[in-house]
Amino acid sequence: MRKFQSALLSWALAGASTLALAGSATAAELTFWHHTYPPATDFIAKKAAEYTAQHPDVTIKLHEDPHGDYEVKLTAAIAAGNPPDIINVLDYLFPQYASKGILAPVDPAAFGQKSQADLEALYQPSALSGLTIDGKTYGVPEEFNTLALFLNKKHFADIGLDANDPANWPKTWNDVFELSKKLQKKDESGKTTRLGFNWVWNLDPYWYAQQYWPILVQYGCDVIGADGKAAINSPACVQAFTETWQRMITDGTGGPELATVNPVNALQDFSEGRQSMAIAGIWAPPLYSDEVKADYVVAALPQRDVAKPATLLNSYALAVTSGSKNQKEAFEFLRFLTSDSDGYLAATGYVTGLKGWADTDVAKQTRGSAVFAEGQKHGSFVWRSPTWAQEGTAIKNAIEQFAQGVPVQEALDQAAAEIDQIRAN
Amino acid sequence: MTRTASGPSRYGRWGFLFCLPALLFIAIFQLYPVLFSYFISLHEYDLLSPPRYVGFKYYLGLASDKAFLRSLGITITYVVYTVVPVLGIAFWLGWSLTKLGRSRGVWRTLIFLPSVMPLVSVALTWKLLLNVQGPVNDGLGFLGMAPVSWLTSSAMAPWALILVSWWHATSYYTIIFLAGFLAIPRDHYEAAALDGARGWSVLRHITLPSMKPTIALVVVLSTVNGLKTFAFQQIMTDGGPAGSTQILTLLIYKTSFSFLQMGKASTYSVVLFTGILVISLLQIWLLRDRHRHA
Amino acid sequence: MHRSLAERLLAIAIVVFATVLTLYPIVWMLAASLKTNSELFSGSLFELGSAGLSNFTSSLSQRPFFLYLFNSVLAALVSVIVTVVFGALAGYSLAKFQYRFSGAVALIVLASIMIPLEAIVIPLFLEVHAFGWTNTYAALLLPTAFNVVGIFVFRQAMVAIPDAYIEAARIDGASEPRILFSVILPMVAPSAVVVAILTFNLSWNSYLWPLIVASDDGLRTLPLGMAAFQSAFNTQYGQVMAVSIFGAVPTTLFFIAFQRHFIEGVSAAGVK
Repeated sequence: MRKFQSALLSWALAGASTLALAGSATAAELTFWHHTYPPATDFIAKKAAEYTAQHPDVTIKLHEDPHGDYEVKLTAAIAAGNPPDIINVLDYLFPQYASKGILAPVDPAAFGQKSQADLEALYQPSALSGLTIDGKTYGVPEEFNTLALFLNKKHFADIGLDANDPANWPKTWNDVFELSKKLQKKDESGKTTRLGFNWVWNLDPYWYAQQYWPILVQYGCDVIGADGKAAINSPACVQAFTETWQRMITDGTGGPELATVNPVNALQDFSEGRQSMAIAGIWAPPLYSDEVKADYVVAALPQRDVAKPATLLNSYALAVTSGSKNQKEAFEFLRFLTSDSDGYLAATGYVTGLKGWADTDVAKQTRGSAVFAEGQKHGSFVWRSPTWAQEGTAIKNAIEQFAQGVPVQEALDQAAAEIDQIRAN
Repeated sequence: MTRTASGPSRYGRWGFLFCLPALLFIAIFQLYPVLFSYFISLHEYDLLSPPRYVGFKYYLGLASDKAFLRSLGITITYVVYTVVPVLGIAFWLGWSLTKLGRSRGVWRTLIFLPSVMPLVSVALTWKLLLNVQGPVNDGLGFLGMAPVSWLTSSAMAPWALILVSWWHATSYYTIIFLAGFLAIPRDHYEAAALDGARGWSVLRHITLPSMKPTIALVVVLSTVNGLKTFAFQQIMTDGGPAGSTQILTLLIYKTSFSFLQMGKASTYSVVLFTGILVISLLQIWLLRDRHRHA
Repeated sequence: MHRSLAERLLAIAIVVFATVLTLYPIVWMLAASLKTNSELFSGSLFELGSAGLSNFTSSLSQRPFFLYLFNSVLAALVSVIVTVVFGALAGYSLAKFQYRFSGAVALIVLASIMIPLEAIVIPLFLEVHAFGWTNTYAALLLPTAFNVVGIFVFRQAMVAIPDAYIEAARIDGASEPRILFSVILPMVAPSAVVVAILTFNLSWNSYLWPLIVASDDGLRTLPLGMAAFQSAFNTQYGQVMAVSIFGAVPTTLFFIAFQRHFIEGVSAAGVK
């Protein structure tokens, strides 16, 4: 009954706010769209309330939709010329958005800085690089991520290894695959009940890219060559995919057929203790089931050559739209929000990328923060292209092809041809 | 019996007036967007910046557009293989329901259930059921069969989606067929029985002719729903693996919203509209034919 | 006698077999709504889950699902009313009148039935935005309210009515609107039920349009709430299924309440 009442009440309030919209907006109301991730939206709502308490003339109206749907909705709003003031954008979309004049360049003054260089100095090296086009920065990171290998301590104990001891961490991809064979469990009928490791499957192109990008860098494979032509079918790339993605399938230790199919969560199997190792960011643990939350260890991302580490950088960033009538207020709120590095990390697991984020007490208490801080030094963003989504789709299709037995070279040749065609148009 | 109650002269004006509210709705919320799509198909438009006129560029590119041609084929296959078998299954199931006595109400409610479940959850459920290690393959294993890569093989996935569409659509069309069977006057059958007709001959000479309008209704509705299908493909496979289940609506959706190529997507839409127009003309012809018999 | 018994047994066998296939995924959903995730992937279908009703209570309290339910019901009812009223009018027009452009009108109507929303969603959104309807109930409810299939179903039913009824009413001096409302409509009342059920279900499953126009949590419909909920955390299938069953209740009740009429209605639409 109580719940029903509160639902009714929330409906009445929502109705009232819809009505209020129709009236003249006083001072600044900032609309803020974010992809659905409750820890983050709860945290932002809390910070927004604090901010309004300090600046009564600024209110923030937060709206969220699931990643994927969120981008669709945002695109429609931009097309109608009515984007929200503050948006949440994945870094690979920045070249496209910035070149079309959708995003307002960050005003260093709003961040209390005199110049662009001073602004950059607030952040870790390269934290802003993925958001900077032609010397102008168009957003600030809400999450400045890299990847690590998450291990399930219990599963490691089952095969007699202490996952807390870095000596037992798989260092190379080969270590991962050998360990996978030991960790995999099958029932009498031959059905896999526990996986050692798996890649993400059946998800959008960017999910795939997050996992293959570090490997491509480690193998010296370029998606696009220096001549602007697709190079994804080069020997280095074929070798990279054959020795990593393809290998799991030929070994019978991974692949789409062994994954629990899930439309949104790439980490379902690891989260529920059906997989012993998974590649993920520092944002992942809030997603884990309670048992796995108690049992995970963060290890460094495996490498081809441990002496020359390479990882991924990515950023679901916050930006102000150029159509916003309250750009100044929006940037000032972003400064207020993103400067709470500890608050973000504790509440959401996001790393804001500010200098020194890893040195605070909160960070030190966060499992794996040292691994992530180290990883950030060796990372790079995925390739930049205004037609990224199509190119990413071509590679995703190639992966799904060789996962079904098409030779890697043939699948990548096809992807390369598609990418060249996309770029020619 | 004449087809219409009145000639064009006296009452036609009323006919037009009656149509007006519906036409206004259609004009504002469907026709205008469709015409706008034709306009956009002549432009390069990324949704982020104003459209730029490019003429027939996208139309000329269609013949060599592999993604489009493939998607067209997938769509046609899907529509054919959903419409035809569902027609048969629903027909026989509806017929069987007429043979049941009092319990019919319960059975038809149970059979209709797939149509009332939220589409999104039904699609998600099938995705889990058809997982290689999922319950459906467990069932096949129990019967001594090897597991099937329902959604992870490009060869199998289109068929998996077709099977699911059978499950979903049969429920709905069975009820329509049942209603059709029940509406056939009993004396038709009695007269046939007196003439010594039985089995196949009753079906052919009594049941089928009486069911023709119902069959037409189901053909129209199932073609429409087949062409418009989107949710199952988007949720179960997102068009994969490797594009093998990328039906036209999904391709249009991705081309507009992920690739931000609204001009190209509109060109695809225009092709789809044209196809729809042709099918509509065929249907009008089908319906006309029906009335002549009436 | 033997023949019809055999026929009846065969029919029962077909119906039972089909019902088992039909119900399997639905029973699975029901069972899943009572299970925890680990039970779902390991145990058999018939083992009762240990989650009890906790999936229902925990999921429905996470978001204002009753508000979403209200919006969904509102959208469905608006759509049903618009479609039944306008559909009946236009269906009558197509069934019983000939005028200058009646052929073109029939073509437009039939073609409109088949246009997928995905193909026109952007132009439609730009248009609605130009109307100044951004973030309003008007934008949520009106553009997709009219289900053109309704015209088609009404037309099929009305075409079956002998013209003598209309002519007799005209001779009695009844006006044309009066003929429609007092003579024709009562005769096709069951078709109105068909249209209502069809339209209710269609609106209930509508996703893309509400997603794009609802930028306020107060405007969200049930499928949007379900999607947001589903992607929020490590997917708790039990909870997703609990919400799905919650979302199926209104459509099921709608069907059960009208199913007798539905059956008669479809037959009126399908058979002359």
